Parts: sequence; C-alpha cells; structure tokens
Amino acid sequence: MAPKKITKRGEELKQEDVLQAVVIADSFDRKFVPISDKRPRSLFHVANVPLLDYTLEFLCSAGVEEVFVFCCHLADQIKDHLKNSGWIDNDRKFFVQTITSEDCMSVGDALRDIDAKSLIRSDFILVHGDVVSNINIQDVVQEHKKRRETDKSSIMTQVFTKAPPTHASRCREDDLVVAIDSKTSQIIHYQKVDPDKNLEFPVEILTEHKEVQIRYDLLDCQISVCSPQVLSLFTDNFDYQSRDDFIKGILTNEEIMGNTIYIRIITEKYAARISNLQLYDSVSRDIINRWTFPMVPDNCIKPNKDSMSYGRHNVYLSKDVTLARGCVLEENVLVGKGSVIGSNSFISNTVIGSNCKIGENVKLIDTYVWDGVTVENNCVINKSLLCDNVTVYEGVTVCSRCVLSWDVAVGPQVTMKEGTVAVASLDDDDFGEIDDRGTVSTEFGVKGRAFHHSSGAGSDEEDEKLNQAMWGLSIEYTSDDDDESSVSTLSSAKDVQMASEEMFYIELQDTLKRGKDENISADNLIVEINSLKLAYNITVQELNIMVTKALLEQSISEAASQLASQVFPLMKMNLQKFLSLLKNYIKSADSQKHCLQSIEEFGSLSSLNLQLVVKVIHILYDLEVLDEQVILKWYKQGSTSAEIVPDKQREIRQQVEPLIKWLEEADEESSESEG
Amino acid sequence: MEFQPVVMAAGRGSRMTDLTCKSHKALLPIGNMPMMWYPINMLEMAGFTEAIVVVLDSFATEAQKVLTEICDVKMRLDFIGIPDTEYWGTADVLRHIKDRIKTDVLIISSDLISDVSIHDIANVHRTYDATITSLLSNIPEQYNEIPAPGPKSKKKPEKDYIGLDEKGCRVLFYTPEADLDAEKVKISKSLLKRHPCVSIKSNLTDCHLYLMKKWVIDFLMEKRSISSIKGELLPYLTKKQFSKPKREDLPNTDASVLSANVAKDIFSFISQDPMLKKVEKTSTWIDHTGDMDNCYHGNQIRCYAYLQSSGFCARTNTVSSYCEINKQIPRLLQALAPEKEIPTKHSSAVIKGTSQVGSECLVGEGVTIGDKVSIKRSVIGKHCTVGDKVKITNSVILDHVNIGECCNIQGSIVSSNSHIIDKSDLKDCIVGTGENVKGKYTNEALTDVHRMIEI
Repeated sequence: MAPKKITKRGEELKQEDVLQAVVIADSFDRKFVPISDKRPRSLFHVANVPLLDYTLEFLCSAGVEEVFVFCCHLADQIKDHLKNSGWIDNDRKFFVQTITSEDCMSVGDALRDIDAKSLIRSDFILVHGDVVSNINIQDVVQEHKKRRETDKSSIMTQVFTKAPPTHASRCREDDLVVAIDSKTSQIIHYQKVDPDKNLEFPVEILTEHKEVQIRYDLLDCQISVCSPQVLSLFTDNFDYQSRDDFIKGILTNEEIMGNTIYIRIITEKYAARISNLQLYDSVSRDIINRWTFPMVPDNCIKPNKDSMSYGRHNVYLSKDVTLARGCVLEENVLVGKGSVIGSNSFISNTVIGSNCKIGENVKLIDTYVWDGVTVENNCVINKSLLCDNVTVYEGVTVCSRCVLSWDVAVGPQVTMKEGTVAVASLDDDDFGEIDDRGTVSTEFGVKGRAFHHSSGAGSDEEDEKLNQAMWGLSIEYTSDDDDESSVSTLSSAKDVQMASEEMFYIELQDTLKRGKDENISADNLIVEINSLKLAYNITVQELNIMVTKALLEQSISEAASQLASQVFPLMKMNLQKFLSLLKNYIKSADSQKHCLQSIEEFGSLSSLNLQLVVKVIHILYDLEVLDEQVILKWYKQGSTSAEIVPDKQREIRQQVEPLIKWLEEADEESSESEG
Repeated sequence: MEFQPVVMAAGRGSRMTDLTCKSHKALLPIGNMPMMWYPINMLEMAGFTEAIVVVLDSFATEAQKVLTEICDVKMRLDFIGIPDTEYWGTADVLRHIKDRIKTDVLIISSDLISDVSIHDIANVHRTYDATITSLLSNIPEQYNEIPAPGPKSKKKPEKDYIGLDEKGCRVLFYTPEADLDAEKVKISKSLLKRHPCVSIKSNLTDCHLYLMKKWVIDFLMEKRSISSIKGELLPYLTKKQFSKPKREDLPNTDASVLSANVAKDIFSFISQDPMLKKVEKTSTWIDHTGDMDNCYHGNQIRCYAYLQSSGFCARTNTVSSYCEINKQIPRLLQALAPEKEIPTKHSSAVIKGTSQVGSECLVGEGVTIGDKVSIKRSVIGKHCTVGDKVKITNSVILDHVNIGECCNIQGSIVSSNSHIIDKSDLKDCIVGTGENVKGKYTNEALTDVHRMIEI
C-alpha cells in the first residue's frame, strides 16, 4: 500500500517539475531590415554561432526540459536550423518543439496562440530568440515559485541586468526607469524615458510604499518567469501586443486585478538581448571578451562542430584558417573556418565568419564579417556589418556604421559614406528605383552591385532615420514633416521669389535704421513691416529669418571697427532696443527655430560673426526670446538651411558648445524658483 | 575646534501642548533628568568641552541652574536666550548667533535621545567634505505608533520623502510630505544619469542633528526667507546640489552680458579649504562609478546623511514618544551615560512595607511610597508621595505629585505639583500641572485649558 502511494506522488511531482520555456523566435519589429528580410534575427551569427543556439543553450544548461520555439517570419529557416543542428530529434532530456504561425503580428498574438494550444502546464520561462545569457534561471524560477506559494497573485518575475546610464549596451529604445519596492522587489512603476521630457512619477509610488528604489541603471533582458495566468491574461486582453503593454497593463490595473510583477536584478552573471545593431555590437564584444563564459567561442556550443583555439588578446582561430605572413590580428578577433587572411592586413575587434577571403593590406576595425565574404586588397573597413557573400573590391573604404546586406558588391576604389545601408537588389515596387540606379555606378563603383536601401514607405528622411536606428545612434533625428515640405516648396519656387526677397530685405533694413534714428515705437515698426510682408509676398518663415538677420547686421554696419569686443555691446543694445519687435515675431518654437537658423547663417558669413554667435544666442536666451528646449533641439538636429556648408555648421556648433553644455546641465534650474 | 556645537533648546513643544503649556519642553523630565540634558550628555561623551545652548529668555536662568547644579554638567555651556515673543525657527536662531560661530557647526536638538556616536556622523561629513550632514534614523518611527495618553488624535506624524543614493549616504531628494505635488513627482534626468539608483524612503526620521559648513550661515544671512533648517534649508540645499552656478561662471562670455544686480546666489558663498581643493584635484579617488566625471560630478554643494540602523534613537516631540521613552529609559540610562551612576531607586526614597516596585522603574529623590503599592514600568519623579494600595503601571509621574490612597493609574502622564485624590482611576490620561483630580477618567487630558473649554 505504502510504496504505491509514494510512486504516485513521485509521478505527479515529475509532471509538475518539467520546466517549460517559450522562445519567441521572431522580433516583430523592423530594427534589422534589410538584413532580416532574408534571415530571421534569431539565426544571425553572433561570434559565428546562430543566436538561437545561445538562447537554447542558456535554457538547456539551466535545466529546462521542454522548449517551444515560436516562429513566424521565415519559419522554415528556423525549423531547418533546429533540425540540422540537432536540437530537435535527439534523445537528450531536452525537448524542442516548434510552433509556427504565419499570421502573428506581435508577442501578444504568439502568446495567445500558445494559450489556445494549451501547451503550458505550470510556471514557464518566456524569452526571445535573441537572448544571450549565462544566468542560472533556475534560481529565479525557484524564487518565483516560492513567492507563488504565499502569494498567488505574483504572476511574473522579470530579469534585469545592471547597466549604468553610460553602459555600452544601453540604447535609446531601452532607456527605462523602474521603480521597485526595496523590501519586496515588486515592480511598482515602469516607464520608458522620453528624451524630450522630464521624468515624472505618480505620487502614489512614494505614498504607498515605504522604501522605493527608482532605478535608471537597469537593462531589460526580456527574460521572464511567468505563471500560466500570464497567457490567459494575454488572451483576455487582446490589446496587449508586447510585453511592455502587458507590464503596463498589470501595473495600472494592479488595484483591480491584484496581480503583481517582481524583479530580479542580475549583477554577477551576463544577460542581454540583441534588440538592435548597437546591442549586436556590444554583445559580440562581450562574448569575445568572455563575459558570457561558458558560452565563449572556444567552448563551442553543442550542435556546432567547429572547434576553435583561444589565444592571447582574445584571438580565436578555427582549425583551418590560413593566415598569410605579416598579417596582424591585434585583439578581440575571431576567424571562422576556411577563412584566408592576406599579408600585411591589420585586424582588430573584428569577427570574421567562415570561408571568407581577406586580401592584402586590408584594415578591418570593429567590423562584423559574416560567411563567404570577399574583401580584396587595400580595403579599409571601419565599424560596419558585412552580411553573407558580400564582395568588397580593391581599394574600397567603408566608413563607420555602414551595413552591406546580403550579396552586395562594391568597388573598386570607392568610399562609402558613413551610415550607408546597401542592398543587392531593390524591391519591384520601390519608387526610387530609377533614381538610385543612376547613382549606382558612381557611388558603389564600376563592379558594384548595390543600391541604397530604402524602407517600404520610401521617403528619404525615414531612410536616414532607420539607418541611424540600426546602429542606435544617440544623435537625435527628429524631422518635422510640415517643416520639411515647406522648405522644399520654397526651394522649388526659389528663383521667382528671390528678387522680391532681396527687395524686401533692403526695405526692412531701411525701416529698422529709420526706426532707430527717429526712435519710432515698436508697434509702428511692426505695422510697417507687416505691410511690407504683404507687399512682397513673404512667408512667415522668411520674415522671421530676415528680421533676425537685419537686426544682427545692423550692428555690424554701425560699428566703427570690426572687433568683437566693440561690435558686441552695440549689438546687445540694438537687440534690447528692438526686443519687443523681435518678440512680436519670434514667439513659437517654430519661429525660434527660424531665428536660430538665421543666426547660424549670420555666423557663417565671417569669423567675426562666428565669434558673436554664442553671445547672441545667450543674450536672446536671457531676454527670453529663445527657449532652452529649442536651442538644445536646434543644436542636436543640425541646420535645415541649405546655404551653410557643413564645415561652417560644425564650427558654429563648436562655438556654441559651452553654452549648450551649461544649458543642459542647468536644466533643473528653470524649474526652481528663486525664493 | 572642528565643530562648534549648538544645542537648540528653545522649542515650544507644539506637538505636545498638553505637557508643555505650563512648563518648558526642554526641561520636561525624562527618567528624572531634564530632556535637554541628553543631547548635552551626548556632546560631552563625544569629547566636546564647550557648547552654545539656545534657550528661550524666560527660562534661561532656570535651565542654567538645573543643568549645572542638578545634572552636574562639566562642559562649559554658553547660554543664549532668544526672545519669547518671537516665533523663531532654527535657521532664524542661527542668524541670531552668527557672530559666535567661528567654525563649522554641529546643531543638535534638545529633544534627541540617542546612543549614536557623533564620531560616525562626523566621519561621513569629513569623508565627502559635505556641506551638510544630517542624522537619519528609522528607529523613532515605532514610537509614533504606540497609543498615547490623552484624547485620541487622528493626527498623523509628518513624513519626509528622502531619496538616498546607492550607498545610502548622499541625500538626493528631500521633500516633506506637505510639499509633495498632488499628482506627479519630478526627478530630473541629469540626476538619474549620475545617480541611477535612488532609493526614496518615507520611514526615516530626521533627528535634527546636523553638521554644517560655516558658509551656510553666511548664506542664511542673505536669504532671510528661510526660517527652519529641516523644513526649508535642507530641501533647498538638496535641490541646489545639482544646479550649476549662475551665469558668472559661463565661459566665453563678455562681462557685458551680465547685469551686476543679480542677487547673490548660493554658490558665491561657498568657501572651500584651499588644501582640500588641491587634494580633490590631485587625488584619484572619486565618489561614484559608472562614468569618468570629476569627483562629486563637480557638485559644490553636497548633502549627506548618516543612517542609524541599530541602537537607540528617539525624538521626544510628541506625547506618545515622550511616554514611551520614559518607559524605556531605565534600561537605557546605563548605555547613554556609563560614567554617571543613576540608581533606579534613589537612596533617599522611602518605600514602606510590602510595596512592589518593578525593575524597569525609576524612583526619584525623596519619594515616599506607601504600603501595598505596586509600581510597574513607570517613572516616579522627585519628592512624590504615593499613598497606600496605589497601582501605577506604564505611567510617568513628574515631580512633587501627591497620589492619594487606592488610586489606579495606568498609561498616564501626571504633571508636576498635581494632586490625585483618593480612589481615583486614571487610564491613558494626561494630568496637567498643579491639577487636583478626582474620579474616573479614560483617554482625557485633565488640564485647566481643557476644563475651561468643557465648562
């Protein structure tokens, strides 16, 4: 009697104890377009191993026994990979099963699908197929289960790693602030940081918890331990698309639903999710620098038979690599099997895939080269990504942040501008086809087979935005659509307007001069200028620019000498005198932008003017004509004016830098009232 | 002398008016010693030889007499009276005594009773060359939750929201509950960038012990609108930590940009020891991790706190904390003043017959206790007379109280010179100074103020 009972209980336990995991092998975003058009993100090679293998290895070593890989985009590739690499169909105690659903649009859809199939029996691990980690998730699972014993409503434990704001693997889209109850480590607030806004928290965070930690040093590595309820909650709330939606939903409905989410912060082990190219870069480095031990290239992950040797300065070489005499592999270099590197080539911080041919005198720095790539002699490639079968002909220079997608060929003897994203063929429906083809031969070389990549929507601005997002640039690129179009219409009708603009400007200068000499009141001047505007059919934007310009140039012409120290007091006086006039025109953020544009144009005229720029901006800031937000935005964004050469722009920005720094650092000053 | 101690003993006890309406808060006895003796004792233990004591004019002489004659304080105490008619805050007091301040100051409130070592606080202050260092403790919180004698009040103790950095030293955020915005709390991004982990606690009590740079007082002279240290100065300084000096320091600007009439801003008061400046420049030590910025990120104003986590700490500013501390004091006296021998039962006290006095009791000088009396967890003040068959539990009896026969006093405070007539029964009551009480009361404040309202 007794033994029977024991076995029965044992069986039950076993059933319970099978730890399940769901791997979402689709990102549901377009961060890696165009690369991800041909291969799903989870199969990208990171240090020559497909990303999904890292994720599965991580789960396997943590003692997970049953894994559901959810594939959507290019599902066949993932299935084939799993089959070929031996994750599926082996008698190990690690059971991998794929779930395919082509019409899923989001993580939410995927989880609803899984819920409908009712595959999950108890607490499970939810990860993305692009996670690299060596943490022992079992600890977190145990912690989660223990918490569940006392509190059924704790439905999720999120794993975060510590990454201070200056950390390499922090990027803008993952910039988040989390508020945690220090005692229970419950997440009480979760918010993405908006770069343009101040941070605000609901007061309840403080009033309802005694000890609250507000943390800005966390990185969401998108590993969560979930209770089965999570799935049904996704089903119930079909507006939950992403995990962020879910967390937000749970936190805001906490009082009604009573569900809670907890946090686990990993400080010693490694965990990161490759969510964009910047993170691809930093995670690759971390792997090569062995932070992810035991998941390092020489300690090959099970299905990969490619064994590597590990040398000093983190140089990893496959067995059949050919290194010519005189080539230098400086540090943090990985070379895949069958690759050949020519003599006198210099390689540093670079990953080279298998069967690549690197010629002589080639310089590869911070670059990721996937399989079957050919780089001919005398090329220089900086911080770029070269996908499979890319050919770079002789003498090509690739500046940083370039992406050469599948099968692209460039060269010989060309230079690729910073941030170029090149694809081998264009989609049929791309409207810019003809234009781009025209530029192919010149830009990508005679033998080139490449086009500028443009995203589906196709506008140039978006293209630029996307490509910057790929490398996760911190430079802000916000283009105001209305503005952009108004500029272009202006330029198209430029010739017609030119004459009247010049005439208007001369009249404006006369008016201001007269205004000063005869001491005419600002109101009257405004009336006069407005009528001039109508007479010459000047746009508001032009008017703003010209009024600023006229005021500035007036002082220059009045000054006796061309010394900054003499011109400036005069200019200050003039600006103060015409302050009400200026304020009449320069009010909104747009007009302030025009004003700054005008100042910039003014500054680019001579070296004297250049010196004055910062002071003028400062005065106008003091006189409350310009708002600090606008100045900062202008500084970051770059000029919209076509009349200024980039060199000058840079000079001006250099001049203004101290002021900007000061403005940025004193940003709380404004909120403070001097008692 | 590195720090000049200032004892703030001019408080009026506005949170315990039932007790302070006729006597001075700083002189209320705790364990048969005046309240203000405890901080002075703390200073003495830390090795200070002189201190400035700020008291109200009206009881300056009394305080002086009590401290030197009865409490036997050896330190040189410099009493400064402030006018009773002016309701001065702590910052106003500092302005008043400015001329006497020669170095950095240590400000201590007369109602602080703690076994914290001032050296530890000073070490935090020295390590970071702080502008102001305050003592925070989560211990007093528990005292506020104990039911107090007297009428039940719904008043909640005031809370402060204090944000500390990861190490729990630097004060990044300091907002009294009253100043908290109704909906949103703003935390600037630049602060979070430098101190990415802010823990905001609302269970800490500011113990009113501050170490402060001398220049802060110079600044107070200029900024007259600040009247209290805790309520106004600290939040102000905490905020100012992350501000940049005004335009004066902006590089690349001609003098003409600046108008001379800008009010002197706080940064112009900062005076740093030139030696320390050099040390800071040449030292490789920085106070943070995560970036390569200068030490302290160039912040010239720095507020720190010492967090007391164990030991004993209390502020006797409410009736409940006053009552509770009196109950605890018998076993704490040894720790607070090891050099001073304070007997739990004074040698001159007379206890008759079969009376029982528990071990956690203090019986003062010249007390007479009748027959069959039982006293538990209570403090009996000097020269009290307790009649036969009286039961006293959890209570504080101040000096010269006369308790008649068969009285039952529970959880109450009986002020000095009052008379409890035979067979009275008091539970959780406060008896005012010089009252005659007869009958049965629970949860009442038996003071004449109260009676006048009742009639």
